[in-house]
Amino acid sequence: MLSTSFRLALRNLARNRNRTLVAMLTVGGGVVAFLLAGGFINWVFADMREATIRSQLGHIQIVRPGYFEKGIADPYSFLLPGQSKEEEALRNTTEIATITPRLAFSGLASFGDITVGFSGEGIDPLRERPISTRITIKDGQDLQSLEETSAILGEGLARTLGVKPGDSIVLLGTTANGSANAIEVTVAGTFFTIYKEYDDTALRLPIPLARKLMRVDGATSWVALLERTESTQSTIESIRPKLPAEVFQIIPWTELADFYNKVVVLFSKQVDVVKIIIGLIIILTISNTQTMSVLERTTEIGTSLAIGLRGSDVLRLFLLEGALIGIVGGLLGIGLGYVLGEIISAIGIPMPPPPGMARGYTGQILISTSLVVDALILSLSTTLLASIMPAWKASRMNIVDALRCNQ
Amino acid sequence: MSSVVRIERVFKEYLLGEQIVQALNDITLAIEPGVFLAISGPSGSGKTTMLNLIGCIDRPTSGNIYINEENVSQKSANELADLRARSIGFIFQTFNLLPVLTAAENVEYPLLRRKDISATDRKRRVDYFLDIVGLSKYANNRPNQLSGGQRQRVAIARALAVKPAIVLADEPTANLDKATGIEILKLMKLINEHLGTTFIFSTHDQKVIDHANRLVKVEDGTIKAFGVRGPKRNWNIARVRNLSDIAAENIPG
Ligand SMILES: Nc1ncnc2c1ncn2[C@@H]1O[C@H](COP(=O)(O)OP(=O)(O)OP(=O)(O)O)[C@@H](O)[C@H]1O
Ligand SMILES: [Mg+2]
Repeated sequence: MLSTSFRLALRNLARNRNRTLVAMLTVGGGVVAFLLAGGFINWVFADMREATIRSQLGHIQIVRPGYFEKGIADPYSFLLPGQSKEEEALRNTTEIATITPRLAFSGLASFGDITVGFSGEGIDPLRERPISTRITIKDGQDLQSLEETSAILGEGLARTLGVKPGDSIVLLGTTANGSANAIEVTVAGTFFTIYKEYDDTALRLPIPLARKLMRVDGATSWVALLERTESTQSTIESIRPKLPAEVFQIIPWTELADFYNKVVVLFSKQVDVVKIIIGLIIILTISNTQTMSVLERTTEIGTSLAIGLRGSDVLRLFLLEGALIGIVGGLLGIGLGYVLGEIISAIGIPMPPPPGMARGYTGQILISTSLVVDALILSLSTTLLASIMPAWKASRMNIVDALRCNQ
Repeated sequence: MSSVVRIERVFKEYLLGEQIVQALNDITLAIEPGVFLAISGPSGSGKTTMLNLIGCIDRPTSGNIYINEENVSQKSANELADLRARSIGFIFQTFNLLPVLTAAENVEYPLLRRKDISATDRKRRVDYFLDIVGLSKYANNRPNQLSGGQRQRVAIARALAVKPAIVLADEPTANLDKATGIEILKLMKLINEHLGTTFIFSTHDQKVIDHANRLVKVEDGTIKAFGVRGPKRNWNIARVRNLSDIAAENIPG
């Protein structure tokens, strides 16, 4: 019965080729639109996620409990040890590609008459490098070693101070016991990330210099980079036993990427709206197609019911036809959407700077498996939904009236 | 002898706008199995309505209909569908084959719902009945590749495939030329004689009536006469004069 229903449905679809083609193209077109819109947003998410991770956050940060709530203003009370067996153990964890200490502090930078506040990070230039691939050096050069007495500045900070590579600036900080301290460093280079706000205040220098300025040992956080972003949660689970919760807090990037999270919520809503609009267009078109198909086949429906088919058999047939339109149209759209996505990605979509960012970017289309699954669900559910009313009407047709209609 | 169809004081009204049309007006009739029964009468007399009620695709406004002595009035739509799928074959004036199915598939179509018939049995039946109507060679033709007469033969095979107790045919020859019409009738008669299937068909063509062995004449929704063909092919006609006679007189067995 199934294979025959299937055959019958296929032949009925083949019978009015043009109409079926239009129906499938409508579904396919909707799917293409959904994939391109969703794929672009997907790419934005992925790019922003990686940029956030690889310029500021890393995948996992290990800090003293409460550091992110209370420690920014008082880093001295939340210091991790400079040398420890825990860090050693983390360094030897296979999922972790690199782990590096950071010492975050704030202070004032002076150049000539100008003094401005900055957010400083003492880092290990070499171990930090894999986590900083999305920190782009604009002028000058990156930090090269732990020994040098230089710093790199976010482009906004450099602009405010009016410095260029080679200039000497004075950094003022507060030491652990509350007294002021100052060091002189050379500007090695300036940099930018995707976040203008960060670039307006950020300053990076080798961690020994930062320790010297603050008169402390140790770090405020250990930042880990993983091979794959997807394994963040599983890695946290696997390292948790090595780090007692009373002294170490493990924080995934997702909890720190505030801006990214807000963007995801906002854009996801927009994709949902696009999806609803596309869904409505498909439903309207296909219900029209199906209604015409039912009307045209009134006599056949009457005949089928007369010779013993149940209403539910007729219902199933039209639903099957709707589902076939959805599946074939959906697959068509997925194929076309994928090809178009590749082409568009190769060309690139020039985008202006979004709010909070200094630069525009060249967007691409990233069609993920879950997006493809979503597209198939969209095409199938909408065509089925669109078929329910016509199919139901067909199944409830008055047999005598249906048979009379061709006389 | 029990009846294959029994109609008991059946009325059928249609609502046409504000107006009530009395399509059938107090019909009582019993049909014994195996007859080749013609329902004749002028256009609009109620032939189709009567066949629809017997075929359980329509319900009477009042009165009862029994198929194989089973009252169908109380049955649900699905029960009626199942009853039709097992007991009733339909032949239509306009053939009504499914255009996307081949001749063989059309014959198989009403069998597909029958879970008690295996695929091999199904195929055997299709072959058998296509052979009976002389269309084995055309098994894989679609309806639009067949002549009118051939299409009606496929329809006959389809009606027979479920091995029904009754085959109903509403003006089965009206869309065919005379010669083909006669051929179709002869085929139906042959099947009636050899398989014992009850045939009930409507017509207003005297030549068609000539093939029947039972006759019901309707006019204005009432039965005007019953006819039984005698041994010398002569008609014994019992005329119905008033409504009360109808209950009394049945087709003699
Ligand atoms: N669905 C309907 N709605 C309204 N009136 C109907 C309907 N079906 C039949 N009628 C009316 O009922 C009466 C009997 O119709 P029916 O079709 O049974 O006649 P018939 O004998 O088959 O006629 P014909 O020889 O033209 O086919 C007619 O007056 C017809 O107009
Ligand atoms: Mg009629």
